[in-house]
Amino acid sequence: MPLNDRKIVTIILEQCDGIEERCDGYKEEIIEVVSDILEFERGHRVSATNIQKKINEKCNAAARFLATRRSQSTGTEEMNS
Amino acid sequence: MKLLRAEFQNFRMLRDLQLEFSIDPNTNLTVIRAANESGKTTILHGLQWALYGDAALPDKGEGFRLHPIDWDEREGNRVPIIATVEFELTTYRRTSGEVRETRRRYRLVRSAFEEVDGGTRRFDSTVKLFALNETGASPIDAPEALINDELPPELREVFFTDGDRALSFIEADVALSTKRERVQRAIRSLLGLGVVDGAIKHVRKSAAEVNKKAKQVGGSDQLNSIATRLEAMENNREKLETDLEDAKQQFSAFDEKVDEVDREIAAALQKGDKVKLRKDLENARAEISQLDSQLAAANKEHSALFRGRSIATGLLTPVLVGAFNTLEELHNQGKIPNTTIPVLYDRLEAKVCICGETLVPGNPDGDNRRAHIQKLIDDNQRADEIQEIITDLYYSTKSLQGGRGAETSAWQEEFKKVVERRDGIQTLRDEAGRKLRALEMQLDSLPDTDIQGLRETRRRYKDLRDRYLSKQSSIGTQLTGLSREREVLEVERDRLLREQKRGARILAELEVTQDVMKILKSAYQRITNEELRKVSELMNSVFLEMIGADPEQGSMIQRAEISHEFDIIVYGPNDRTLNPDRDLNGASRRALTLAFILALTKVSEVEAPNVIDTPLGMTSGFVKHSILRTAVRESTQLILFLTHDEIAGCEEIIDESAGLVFTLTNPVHYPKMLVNDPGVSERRVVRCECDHRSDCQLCLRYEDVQFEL
Amino acid sequence: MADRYFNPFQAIDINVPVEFHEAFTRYCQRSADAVIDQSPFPRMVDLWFLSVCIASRLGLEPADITDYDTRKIIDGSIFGSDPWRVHTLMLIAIAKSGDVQVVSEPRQMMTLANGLAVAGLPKVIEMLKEGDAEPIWNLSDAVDSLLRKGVVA
Repeated sequence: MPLNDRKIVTIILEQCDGIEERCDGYKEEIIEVVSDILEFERGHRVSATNIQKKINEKCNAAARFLATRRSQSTGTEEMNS
Repeated sequence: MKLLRAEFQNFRMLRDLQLEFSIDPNTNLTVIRAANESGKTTILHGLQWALYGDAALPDKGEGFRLHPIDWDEREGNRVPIIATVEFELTTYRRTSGEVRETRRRYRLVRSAFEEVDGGTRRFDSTVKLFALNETGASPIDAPEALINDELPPELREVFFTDGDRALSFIEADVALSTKRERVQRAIRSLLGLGVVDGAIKHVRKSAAEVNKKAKQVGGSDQLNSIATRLEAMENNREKLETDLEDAKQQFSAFDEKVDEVDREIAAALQKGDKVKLRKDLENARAEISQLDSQLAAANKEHSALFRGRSIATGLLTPVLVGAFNTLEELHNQGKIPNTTIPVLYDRLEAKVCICGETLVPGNPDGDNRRAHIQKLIDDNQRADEIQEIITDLYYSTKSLQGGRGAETSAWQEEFKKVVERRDGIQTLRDEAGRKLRALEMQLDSLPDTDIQGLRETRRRYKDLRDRYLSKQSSIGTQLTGLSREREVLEVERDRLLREQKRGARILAELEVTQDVMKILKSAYQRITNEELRKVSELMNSVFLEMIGADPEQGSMIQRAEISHEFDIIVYGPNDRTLNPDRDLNGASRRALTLAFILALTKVSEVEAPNVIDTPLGMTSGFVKHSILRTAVRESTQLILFLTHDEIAGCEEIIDESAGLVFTLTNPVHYPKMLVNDPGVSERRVVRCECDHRSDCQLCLRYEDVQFEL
Repeated sequence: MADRYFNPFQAIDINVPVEFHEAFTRYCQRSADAVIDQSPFPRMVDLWFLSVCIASRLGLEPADITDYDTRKIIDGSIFGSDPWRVHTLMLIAIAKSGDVQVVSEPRQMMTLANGLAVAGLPKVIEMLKEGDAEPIWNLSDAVDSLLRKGVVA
């Protein structure tokens, strides 16, 4: 429940256009990560949560997605998360 | 957030009062008509107390009584005070690529007890929040967190504004850094920068965690070394950031102190500089002492008039005529012997010898001859005693005869001079005395302010402030250097990771955190740059529209803006900056503050109420209309407390825009201001449904009657 | 030159009736910090001498000093410092007696002077007192107006 949720979401979405599409669906994945992080932040402001852990995991998941996609395209991904 | 209704019990003069607010987007205005002393400010305090507790009360509630002042102890000496606020929140959430809007209603209840046993003792208030739904109300934990998130306490002044005092963003009696901080805080909070800032910090930590993993990959000493260095740099950066924040806060604190001392000095100087006064006093005393000795000398001269020869000459010359004649006769008869001597005396007096040679003293020839003649005189003194005395008398008193026939005596001339001198000095002395007395009085009336000491304090604060400013720059430079160095190392680390077997996954994690950071940072930048500019532009247009009809100010004020440093600046002709406090009239200052508040709320797209007490005071005519129209247009929900005077002339705007209008009356105004007896003996605010155009038995006031007549 | 300005009154005292002593104390400066406006005369001889002059000017008859209980207030040696006073007293004596021989009679001259002083003193005291200002101003104004008036024939 942020003060101006809609506004920030709109601006963030626009900024996502500027990032590199590192693999197929990467941008979409990152948008999801950023939206979730903001959601975590909002929740964290209302009642303290282990936000660092949540964000680490979120980034980790996106990285796994990226690494997997890359390995699929090159066949060298090492599945050792 | 939109306010739906509020309810107060025993909150000062609000013994039992319910208020509703319009949430219709087409008629977003609620007008609460109330004369002075009819609870307007109390409601403003009540709403804020409900939302924020004691911290929102004047002096943070210290010594601020909440229960009705005329509370009857027979009703018990433990007074329950309750404030209830119901509001609606709209949330937006992005799900499956769409933004979904949700509206929820809440009820916030704050209650406290005050014991009125002789003094007043208040116990900490309790606050409860309930989510309202069709079936009832479910309690919500941590209500403060929700309120703080929706209506941050630092934005209280944005949402709850006292028209007379809402100048905290532009007022002159606080330091520039304080105003700047208020504006910055309001903008950051309303534009949601806090959330983005928090996200950036957390993602940065995630990136640091990933960097640690890079250290553990193994296989490359160089990678290990770079990752270790990056880790150290990250720690360094965190410390620098903390130091920078600290330096900024210290700078602001000392800047505020410098300003405070400046105000103290200015106030003391307005009454007079004690040190300077003492110096002036010393000078005045020295001047007086000098004049006193001059006066004493003049008095002596005056006194000397009564011991000198001139008074005797003046008085006696006419009465001694007989004596002179006798002497003259003797002289003429040759009976005054030693004729040679008188002849020689005559010659010495005439300064010319019988032979025609000079006897002028100072001339070498003259002096020689004079010495010779003097010798002849001495040699020829052979007369008897009487002859000698008479001869002596005759020649010595010749000057006494000289005064004969003169219109004024020498004494009168001397007296005239003495009078002039004495009067002249006395005038100066009187003046100096008056000056001294004035200075002494001024010194006595001075508060015991040590201006010199204050200046010294100011200098110390300024030194400290400047030290923190220079610390800020030095940390800023270190951070820039650190960030450049880091970028180079990161590229190298990523290259090395690519070479490692297990590196691809870590590299992906790093890329993700970097991309997320990039998005967050550019969003942050955009918000601060573009959105700030939007707030600035909108504030300017709203402000100019509000004051456009004021010919006096309209010609002087060209535009207003919020600078990158978060200063609200008003420009006059030729881009000359105007001091809002000094150069703007009351209506314009009010308009500027309202314009800033409305622009900020509008640009942030925050749905929040603007509750304003007496917004139209000090305004009239077209400016008044224009402020009201603009405020209605720019606000999501506008709740105005208006006096009858403020409403006068704005009825049509209220007809168009108000979804709700009602009237509050203070029964104690009967019989002086109220026409009819409300039949209520205690001090309490009573509500009726009369709008801005109607009156009833309860609210009819004398001014209305007169107006209708 | 000193021998030319001999002081015939060297050995003669100036005596003033006791009733005027208070006036001498009041109107003559007896210390360095005397209030000049209240005590205009630097020395007692100045008050005495002015009284002589005023009496002469106003044509007052000299009082018979033997009628009074007098006390010496000043030593005659005081005239040594102001020889013009000696000359003035002689002129007054000549004017009064019409005889220049009087100059050889210092005691006679002093009797005349003392008599004139006693006659003039009440007038001077009146001049000091009469007026709204301090004695020095009252006296100054009175002398000024006296000088303006000219001499009563």
